[in-house]
Amino acid sequence: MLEMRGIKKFYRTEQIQTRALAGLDLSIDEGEFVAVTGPSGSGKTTFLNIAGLLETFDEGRYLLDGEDITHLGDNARSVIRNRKIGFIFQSFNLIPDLDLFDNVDVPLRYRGLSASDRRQRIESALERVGLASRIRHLPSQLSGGQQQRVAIARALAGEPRFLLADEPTGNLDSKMAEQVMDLLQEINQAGTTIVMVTHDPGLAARAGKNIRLLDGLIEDQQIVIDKAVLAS
Amino acid sequence: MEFGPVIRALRHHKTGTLLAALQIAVSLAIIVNASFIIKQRADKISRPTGMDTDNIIVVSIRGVGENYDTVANITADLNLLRNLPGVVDAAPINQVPLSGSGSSTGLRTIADENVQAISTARYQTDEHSMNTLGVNLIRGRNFYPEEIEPFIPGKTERKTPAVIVVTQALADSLYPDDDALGKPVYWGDMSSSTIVGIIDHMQGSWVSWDGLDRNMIHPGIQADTFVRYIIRTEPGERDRLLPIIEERLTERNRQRVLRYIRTHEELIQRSYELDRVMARVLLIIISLLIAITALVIVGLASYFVSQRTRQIGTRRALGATRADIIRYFLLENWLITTLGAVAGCVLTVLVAYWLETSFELPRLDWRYPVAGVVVLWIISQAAAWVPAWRAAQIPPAIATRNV
Ligand SMILES: Nc1ncnc2c1ncn2[C@@H]1O[C@H](COP(=O)(O)OP(=O)(O)OP(=O)(O)O)[C@@H](O)[C@H]1O
Ligand SMILES: [Mg+2]
Repeated sequence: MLEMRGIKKFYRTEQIQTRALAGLDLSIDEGEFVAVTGPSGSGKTTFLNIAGLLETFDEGRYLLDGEDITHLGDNARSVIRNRKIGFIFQSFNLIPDLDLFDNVDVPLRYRGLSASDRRQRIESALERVGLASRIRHLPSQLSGGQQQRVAIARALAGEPRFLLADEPTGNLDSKMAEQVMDLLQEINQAGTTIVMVTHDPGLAARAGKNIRLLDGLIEDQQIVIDKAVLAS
Repeated sequence: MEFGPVIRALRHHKTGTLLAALQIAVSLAIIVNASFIIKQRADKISRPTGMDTDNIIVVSIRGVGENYDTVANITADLNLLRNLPGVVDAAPINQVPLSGSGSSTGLRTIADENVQAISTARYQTDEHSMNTLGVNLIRGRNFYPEEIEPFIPGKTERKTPAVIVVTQALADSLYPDDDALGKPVYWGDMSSSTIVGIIDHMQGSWVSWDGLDRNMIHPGIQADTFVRYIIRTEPGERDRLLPIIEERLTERNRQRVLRYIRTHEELIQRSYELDRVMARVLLIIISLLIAITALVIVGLASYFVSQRTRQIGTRRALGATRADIIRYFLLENWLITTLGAVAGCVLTVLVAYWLETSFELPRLDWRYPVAGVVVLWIISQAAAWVPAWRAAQIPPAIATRNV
């Protein structure tokens, strides 16, 4: 469902040009849970930004869901982000002035859904992350883990095919991180493709597939074999 | 659009929102009332005068010396003026309409001191005056030459004129239910004159007096050492003739001083000087307030944009197009402006009521606040456009940048 061929990305500042991605080849199938690891500066976020259509790339070809998005304009990219992709950010990125309901509502409004449809999606998404009772609370009234669950609800409410997470547990303690990871796994099992950047080898091991980036290239790719399968 | 969340988000920025709204409210109240006052002044200045003011020249002369013959000099002056090529007509007159200086009197229709007199400006002049002023005699007759008698202060008795000509406005005040033509009027000493002619419209001496349209012309020449002449020229000849008239009058008899020679237009402009200054000051205030309002809006919107950089990037990541971002900030701005405008309308009416009761201004025309709100909407949307556009340029990748 996601296919990248020879993706290159350069960041040009006045003095230097950084090669963030050096010709990445990658394909991810529907329903996979991929963990992307690698040292700092190896291009993980860059890869995720490109995969999520937040940034353009300089060379290569990118097919998402069979659609070539290489030359799409800004508005078309916005629409794809809105309909097909859900984002989960390291620092949650909830809108501090809006309560949980309105936060989850943000992408739904851009999609132009009816009020009743939106309400139903918001309630069931918050239900799913266990925060239905806090629907009129502000993000600042929640713990970090709860905030990240709201962000997940926001990503889920649009029923995306594809969930992108950049270090979703990076700002959480290990217990909360486990909870978030449980939730992501549950979502993946329900059929959503997930790509997650993480520094935590333990969490990465829980994903179905690991991709290790180094200097903008895939250094290593491995399918994590389910321990249960191994044991049998 | 997303009214609900925009309003709910604004509730977390009460101070900035309310201050901006307050600024808009105060601006609206001042701008609307000031515009209304300017309109009043402009209307006042542009009222029809009833006279051919564009082609009239006014001269004031003072004769000097013991044996200065006032009557002979006036006769000679008028003779000279009326025969100048380009001059339509000329007349002596005790006061000049719209000059700010005049004489007034009270007239009654019943010879009874207990009856309230109608005040009117009065102009003593000859049978050439109506043609010179360019007023329109709609009924009755002009004075006959034999009705014009010189009055020499200190030498001849002041006599009540047998006939007078009045403006329609004065006729209507004197005889509201009757035809004034041919009717008597009584002066302060209860002597009487007969109305023999009616002028449709002519403005008097004092532009701020509510009796400006009530005027009377009575026959006679004030043969003082001070005299005033009004001279009407052919259209377009005024400015060419002005220095010529000055020169000829000076040359004709050097035993006197030409106090001034001016266009009627200039005298009228002086009479309205205060109104003009007032209008100009108010216009400056309005311009400043509009500029300040625009700056406040640019400032607040820019502040909101810079404060929400990450939020904007996140919205973009979640599917907002650039147009959605622009729309958000324009809508937010519109809400603040409208909040201010609603409060401003209340304030506008209060200020208008105060002006109406304290300064006898007419009641505010409802179209002024409506126009004011529309203007503020346009200005504020235009002012918010630049920060909104800048917000739309924030890249969605901001969302994944960790700070
Ligand atoms: N906006 C940018 N401008 C310039 N250089 C950038 C920009 N974003 C990333 N880079 C550079 O591109 C390279 C890859 O960065 P990227 O953020 O993808 O790394 P990362 O693997 O996510 O690192 P980390 O684990 O620290 O988040 C780095 O050298 C980084 O400095
Ligand atoms: Mg990163």
